[in-house]
Amino acid sequence: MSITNTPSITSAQATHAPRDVDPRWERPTLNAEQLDGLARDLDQIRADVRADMGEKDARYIKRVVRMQRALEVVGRCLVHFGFTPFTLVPGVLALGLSKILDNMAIGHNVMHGQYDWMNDPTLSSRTFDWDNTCDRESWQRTHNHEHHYFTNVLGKDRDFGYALFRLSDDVKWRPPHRIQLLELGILSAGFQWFVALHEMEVEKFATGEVTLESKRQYIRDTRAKILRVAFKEYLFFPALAGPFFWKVLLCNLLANVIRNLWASTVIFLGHFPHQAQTFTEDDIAHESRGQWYLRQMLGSANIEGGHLMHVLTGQLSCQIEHHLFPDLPANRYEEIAPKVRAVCEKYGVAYNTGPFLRQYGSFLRRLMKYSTRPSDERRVDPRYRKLQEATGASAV
Amino acid sequence: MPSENPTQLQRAREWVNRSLFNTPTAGAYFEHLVGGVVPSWSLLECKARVVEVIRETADTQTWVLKPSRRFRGFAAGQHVHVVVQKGGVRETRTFSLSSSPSRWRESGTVCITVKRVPKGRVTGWMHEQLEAGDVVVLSEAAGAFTLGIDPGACAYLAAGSGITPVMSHLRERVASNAPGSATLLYFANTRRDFIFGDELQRLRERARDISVHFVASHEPSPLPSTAGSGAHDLPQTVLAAAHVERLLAAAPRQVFVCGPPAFRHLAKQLLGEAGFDRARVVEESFGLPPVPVTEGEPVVVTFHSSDTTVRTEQAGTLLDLAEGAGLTPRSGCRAGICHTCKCTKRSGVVRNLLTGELSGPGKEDVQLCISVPVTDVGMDL
Repeated sequence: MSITNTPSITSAQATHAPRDVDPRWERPTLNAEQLDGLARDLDQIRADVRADMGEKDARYIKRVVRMQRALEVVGRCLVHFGFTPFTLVPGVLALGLSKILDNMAIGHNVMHGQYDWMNDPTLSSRTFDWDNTCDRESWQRTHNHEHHYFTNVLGKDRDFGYALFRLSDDVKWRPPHRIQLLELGILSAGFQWFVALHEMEVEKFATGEVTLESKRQYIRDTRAKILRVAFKEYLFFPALAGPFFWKVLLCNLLANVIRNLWASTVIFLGHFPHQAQTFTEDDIAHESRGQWYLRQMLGSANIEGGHLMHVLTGQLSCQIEHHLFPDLPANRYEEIAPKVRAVCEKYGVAYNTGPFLRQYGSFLRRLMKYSTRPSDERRVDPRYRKLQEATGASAV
Repeated sequence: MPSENPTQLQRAREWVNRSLFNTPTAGAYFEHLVGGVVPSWSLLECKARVVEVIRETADTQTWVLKPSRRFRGFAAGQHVHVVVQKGGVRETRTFSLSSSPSRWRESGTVCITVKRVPKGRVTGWMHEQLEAGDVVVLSEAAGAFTLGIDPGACAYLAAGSGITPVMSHLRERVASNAPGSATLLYFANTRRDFIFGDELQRLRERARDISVHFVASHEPSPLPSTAGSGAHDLPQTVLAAAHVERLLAAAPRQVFVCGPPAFRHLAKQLLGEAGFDRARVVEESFGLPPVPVTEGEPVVVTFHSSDTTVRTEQAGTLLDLAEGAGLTPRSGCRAGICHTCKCTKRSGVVRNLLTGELSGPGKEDVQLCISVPVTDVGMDL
């Protein structure tokens, strides 16, 4: 998709920062030896965790599961029996929180296979299903493989901008990009539905790259999953309340929206703040392990915060650590973060991190910046520029 | 567990459960919540609390377990799969119950007696860590090493920890005043290695219909024959024709054999030579025979779902190969019994270690823990 001439990070020569990146976050220049050293150091961090994995990690994930179950039971009871804001508001919050824990702290991490070593069928990536409209297998394909393997590679990692946002000049500007802030609101509130439909790859239908036929199995699975969720949230539990059908339905809807807003925000902050770099398919051709590690670090950003913040994001606040070691138990990310940061410093690689509000501001500014029509040549899509040069047209 | 051909109603129920709980059953959803309140409660499994740990010999201990009400009982000689939580990992091993069904009916307790396997990952941990008050999971009892309706005269050949299911038989005989006689030849390395030695000694002295003979095959300094040793009348060597002759003197209707693979093999051979009908030999086996050395042809095993390829000269089981390659397939007993590790093979021939049979070359489900690749193999894993 992208045909920029950004020098590959394999190069030992000086590289220049990509156009859309703050000069502070220049792409570091590492030679092959340094890249190997980087890989060795990070492999060592991984090996240390694996050697120490056990009881403590099992206790953590089970405790989170218990907390999630308890919150859901309490939430649904309050929503069912409550009639005043004093009971309904905590009910909706508890239910929303249970969904956040289910999706982020349990589902996302378990489906990565982080706890498969426990040999527990209720926490196995092969069978675990979550409280979300996205089919579990579709998630494993699009997230575990596409997003985690091709992180921030334009045209490959469809999570980068969700084929919707324009977050760098690599995407050609079109008029709808003017309203991408509004689109953000819609995407955020209905996040679960967009994630469910993500694998549909609607943007590829026009070119015929994707057809209904090629998506048949996915459509069948997703339809089944959506039906189940709709039955639970918008039919079964509301109907259980009899005449108060609409009260329960509305509360369930709100709880889902709470989860959607939080989950989408955390995910946006992991890859879309200014510092997070993008890559091209050329960059990843013949990528070594060290280069893969480097790309994961440059393409991700952490959120600083307390332990509660880490638990509520399913440790996605340690997005860098998660991307380096997607199948290590998430409860370990917090403790290895300082070690990863030290490795970054050792090799002069930027460690992208910041408090929640700063990272959110950075993301919004980036979204705003690329929503406007590029006015000078520097920002024009390079393919477009080449076309202009070829036809002798003057710059816009 | 969903059955093979669920009815309309079962399907509907599972659909509703999956909708409401995202788990196949409601129990699976509440399992961790319930287990968090009281560790010995479960909606899915039969949990059992360790009541007492008894030291039998230097390397053997007995765990007295009190299973929950889910436990449906057992016949003397049967085994259970025991799941222990070792360092957060669910590990499954299979053990014979060494206590009698009568004891379970009276006191609600069952016993497993476990010899520490040298370098054993699980038995070693059990000996060091599994204490009274801890909780384990028990499967339903299974196995055909049982007495049947009318046992008549029975003979037993046991070696080492192979005494455990035999002990269940003898204890049940005593507890239920079973008719018929029993003859036991019990082999161990030295006199100190006889598990349940004292109890067997008492049986031998008091129970009329039960005769017990101890054979210490590798006793370094043969002791003078004393009345108590029970060693005065049989050669203190490895199993030989003389032992079998003594065993068959009581004209048993069945011979029960339990011990290591080599012992069982020898026992069957000697029984056959002595003219005993092989169809009336019952054996119990947990240990797998050693992996037969392949012809030295290297094979390539491809785990398609995880994009991993292993090339190996000495093919172990698919489970070992997968784990050696850093994968974490689901596994259970590692002995071909529980089918937890069952996985789809796309192509290639594997040998089943239990039956020795070769698989077909095409797509089929195989158990990873007992399948050894014979040709290049592709797995959905």
